[in-house]
Amino acid sequence: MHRRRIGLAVVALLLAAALVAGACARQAPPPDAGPPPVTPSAEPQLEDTFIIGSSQEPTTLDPAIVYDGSDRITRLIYESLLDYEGSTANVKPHLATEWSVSPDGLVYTFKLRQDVKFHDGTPFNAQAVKFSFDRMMSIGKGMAWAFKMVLNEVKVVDDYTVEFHLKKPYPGFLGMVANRYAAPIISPSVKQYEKDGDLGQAWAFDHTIGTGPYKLASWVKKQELTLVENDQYWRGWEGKHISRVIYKILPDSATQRMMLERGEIHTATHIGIDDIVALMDNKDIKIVQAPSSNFNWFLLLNTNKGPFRDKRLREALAWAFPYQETIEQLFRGQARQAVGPIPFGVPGHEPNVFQFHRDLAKAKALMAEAGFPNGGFKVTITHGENDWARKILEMTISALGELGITAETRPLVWGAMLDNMKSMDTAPDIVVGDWWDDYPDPDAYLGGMADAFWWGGREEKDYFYTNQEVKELLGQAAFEADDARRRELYRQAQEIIVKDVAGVWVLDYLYATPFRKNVHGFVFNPYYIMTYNVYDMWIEKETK
Amino acid sequence: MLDYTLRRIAFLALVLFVVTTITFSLAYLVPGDPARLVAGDKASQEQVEVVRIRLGLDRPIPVQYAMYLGRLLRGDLGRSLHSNRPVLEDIRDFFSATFELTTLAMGLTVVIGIPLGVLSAVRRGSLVDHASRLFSLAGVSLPVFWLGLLLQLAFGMALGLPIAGRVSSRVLMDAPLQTVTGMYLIDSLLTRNWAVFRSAATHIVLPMVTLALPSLVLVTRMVRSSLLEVLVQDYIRTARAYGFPERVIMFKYALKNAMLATLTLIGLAYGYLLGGSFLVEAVFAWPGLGRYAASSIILSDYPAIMGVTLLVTLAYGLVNLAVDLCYAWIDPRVKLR
Amino acid sequence: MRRVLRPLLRNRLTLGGFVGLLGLVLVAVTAPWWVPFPEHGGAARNLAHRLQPPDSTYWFGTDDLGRDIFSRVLLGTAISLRTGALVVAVAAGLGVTLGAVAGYAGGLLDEAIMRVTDAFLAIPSLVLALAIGSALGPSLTNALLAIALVWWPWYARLVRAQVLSIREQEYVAAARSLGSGAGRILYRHILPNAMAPILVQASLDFGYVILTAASLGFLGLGAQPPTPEWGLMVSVGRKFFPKWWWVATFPGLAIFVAVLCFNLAGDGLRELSDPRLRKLDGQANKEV
Repeated sequence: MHRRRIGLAVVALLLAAALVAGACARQAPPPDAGPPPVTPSAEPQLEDTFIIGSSQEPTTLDPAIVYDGSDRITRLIYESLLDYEGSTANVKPHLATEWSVSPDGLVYTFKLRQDVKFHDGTPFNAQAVKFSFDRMMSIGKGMAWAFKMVLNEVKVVDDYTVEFHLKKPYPGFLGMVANRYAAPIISPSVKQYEKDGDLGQAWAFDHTIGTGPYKLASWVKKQELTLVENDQYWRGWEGKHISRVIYKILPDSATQRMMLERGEIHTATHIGIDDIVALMDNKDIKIVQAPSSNFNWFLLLNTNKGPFRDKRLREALAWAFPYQETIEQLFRGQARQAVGPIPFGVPGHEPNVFQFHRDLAKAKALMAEAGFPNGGFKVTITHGENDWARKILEMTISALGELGITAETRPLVWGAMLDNMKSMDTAPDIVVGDWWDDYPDPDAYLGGMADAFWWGGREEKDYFYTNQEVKELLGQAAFEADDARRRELYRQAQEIIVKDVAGVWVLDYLYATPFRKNVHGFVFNPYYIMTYNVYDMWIEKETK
Repeated sequence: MLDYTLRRIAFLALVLFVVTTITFSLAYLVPGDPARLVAGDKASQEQVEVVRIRLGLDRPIPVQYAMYLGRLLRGDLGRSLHSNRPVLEDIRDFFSATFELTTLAMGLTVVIGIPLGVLSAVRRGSLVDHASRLFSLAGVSLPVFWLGLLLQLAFGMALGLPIAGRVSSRVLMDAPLQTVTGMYLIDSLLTRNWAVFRSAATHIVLPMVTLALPSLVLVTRMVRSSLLEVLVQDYIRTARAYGFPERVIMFKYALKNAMLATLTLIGLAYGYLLGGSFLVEAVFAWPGLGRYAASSIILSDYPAIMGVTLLVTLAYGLVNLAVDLCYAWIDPRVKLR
Repeated sequence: MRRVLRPLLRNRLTLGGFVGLLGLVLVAVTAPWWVPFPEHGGAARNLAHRLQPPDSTYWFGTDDLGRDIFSRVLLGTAISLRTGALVVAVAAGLGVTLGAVAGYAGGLLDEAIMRVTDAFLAIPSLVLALAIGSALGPSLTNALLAIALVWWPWYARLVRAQVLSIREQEYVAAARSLGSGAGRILYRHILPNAMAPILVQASLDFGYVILTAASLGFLGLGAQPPTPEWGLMVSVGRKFFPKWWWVATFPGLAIFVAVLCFNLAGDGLRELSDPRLRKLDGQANKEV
């Protein structure tokens, strides 16, 4: 009897607790409900906030250092002298109004806009341009390596005229100035935040002081960055614009897709292929797909260490890789097989270099010839943590498996992967890699890739691949002024690289950007991949 | 009491010493030259040597270890190889997110686990016995990361509860939150920012429930078994013989004693929650220490990982220290040990 | 024998646990011979049938390479059981040795070993395993090592307590007076008697080790593709959640069922070995 009463008391207690909890729950509104109902009017109402979902948090916002996906943020804050026109590789004036090149190709003169101010009111002028480039060069990170190769010095002619003196004529220079990593124009006032001679690096890590349409309002780590409009922006805020940008860090494709479908974000940068294909059927979503792209995937083989020193084994893998299956099934037809190291659509692409296709018998014969008829050895692979890399990785493991080779894999982010490649203690046998040119020039593509992966240029140290002839060809081609001659040099280099099987060139992917259907004005430019031209975009209020 | 407190603090110091010894020795297993990593790719060999001497990496290992401990004592956890900022600075924001999540999960564990344990102890009988045993064993057998996915599917997709993050970005933007403690719920309460409070509260529901479930069933089971044990003790029988109402016996005598055992368990369950939060954070994009650790792993940022390990151990140690001191305060017999 | 078996079998939950375990072991040993697609346990691909929902051919559906998830889950049983066995064996070996030495030697050595043991117990194990795993590099072997390194203290404590209670018993004293060495006494007299609680502890640990290994796999620090390790499968399947829910759901279910079987059986054994041992739920003080 007694026992029952106690039981009842406890039940009552629990009920009370549940009721309180329930009441609390009822008071809460539907979480993050969509926008309030719109009042009908002739002009569609605009939303002021653009929300981007992305897997990658910026590593720093200092424009002199950024050399990775952090440009998704810095492109909205810092600007370059030049810009690319629409979705093309043609350069157009931006902070510079016009430019001229000396007949010997050594001096580029830029006239600057006179109505531009940095976020803190500091005037933008020739001194600021010189300061910014000098700062980037002395910090020595980001694009500094590329500028060091060609740039002698920046000279102030007058307040609004600046000259770039080159070491030797370089055909890709204008493209280089327009590229998203060469947007280091930061206010000289950053000097006041200098600490221990770091040129303000520590401060600029999470503070911004550019000329662009937006400035940083807050950065909550691993959560989100918030940008607000720079009301002094020189292009003004007339017309349809977005005044606030939230960059939300969402670690995986599935979450990004769910939040996009629920309207909690407007776009996402890392939605995997299968999710993209599924989203194509969603009437609230539109997908912007680029006709050509330099989003490409390949396997770099370590020719200086381990089993792939033997060219026959490299070749065996190139014959064993299931290119068509990967493209048609795994990439859902959103890609095509690569031809040579320079992808389609990138200057210097060579349609006639040799292309491997799947031929397992040939691959096995090569294995036997190399003394491994049944494989029986192990290779190490590093790869990035995204859908594309993982798909290529799985196919590589599968192809290796068919040759009797087992794989040990390790996911690493881009920077760590490069670090690991550079020391033979930590270098893997295969890197699942991708590369995109910083600016539209074959030197930026093949030259940059060779420097990053193969021989680190100025250090004269070889990482993954050594071939003196290729090294010389690329060095020569970079500064060759004659177009036809230059093209020929790149053709030769690519033929040798393919013949040496320095890598397995797998596919070029058709990059797709998904948006809520009420987002307008986005222009895809392959040289600004995964970034947004937010200033030119607008969002209509969503009607339910 | 003072003696006991001192002994417990000395033990915590020992724990921290052990954990730093482990992480420090592990650092030597990480491939790559730390001096080169700090100096950067483009540094010449001479520059690397300068960095090596500056960092003391040329000294004998025991000396390096002593230097490392010295830095730790000054609160210097080293610099992240990735962000090149002090690890402690990097970690601070994440810590409050993790602390908020684990503390609320702990609260849920206590608020639901204890009454449930009492209930199942009171309503004995073979069916209840079996059910409570199955419930508790099933609860601790659930992989929390999988449970989180299922809850996302059930409640996130069907009921529209948020599935990722701490707060709605829009809400936070319209009503910026003033930072006081770094814990959104508390900060928004303190500053009466109801919009953020509501958003943060709905965001924390799913991760909190996911995280709490295993520890909740443990506490339920613990309360139940210690109650059952107490209920057969002589003094309870005496009380019964005196004809005290069962309710008084239960709450005044039995539960009070059973609580002592439960208290210890709560300290231990906190460790369970800290570990579990690493998994739950991955599922719900919760910006806490676990996310920081996970990203440090794919960045090969070992100083950051060392820092996280040390801090989590410290947090766990402090919670257990507090629990033990509470225990000793409630139950003076403990001091005799 | 009957005295042991009857109470075990009388409790239906415990019985269920043992039947489940038997099933798991059978599956682990025989799966390669009868699962519908034995080659899908490895790097095989079947892209024409990728991401198919469960049907009569693919009972649990297929993953992104078109591999049969049913086959992979069953083939993964052996991996998880082996993980559990290896970790428990290494941890028990290390712990038993240290605990026995501490208990038998006593004095300063005992004090030192036990303080370090206690210190290890005060470090959240998953976090420490994470640190070890990330220093060694992600692989199943390293995950095993990492878990074993955080698991041994339980055994050290247990064995030391046993040794202390057995050490002073007459037959041990007799052996000592007959001139047996310390090692021999430990090995011949003390350890056999301490075996029962160690086995109970091991049976209880099994499930937790499997869970921890799966957690490391989920975080990317355990097994690497294409191994059909359950935690890794959930982690990969998560990228296909919720539209292709089966890819993550079934491996997760497998972890749950396997761990539950071990817990039911271990809990039954524990109650049997010490019915009064209710005070601290053997698992309660172990954080995952």
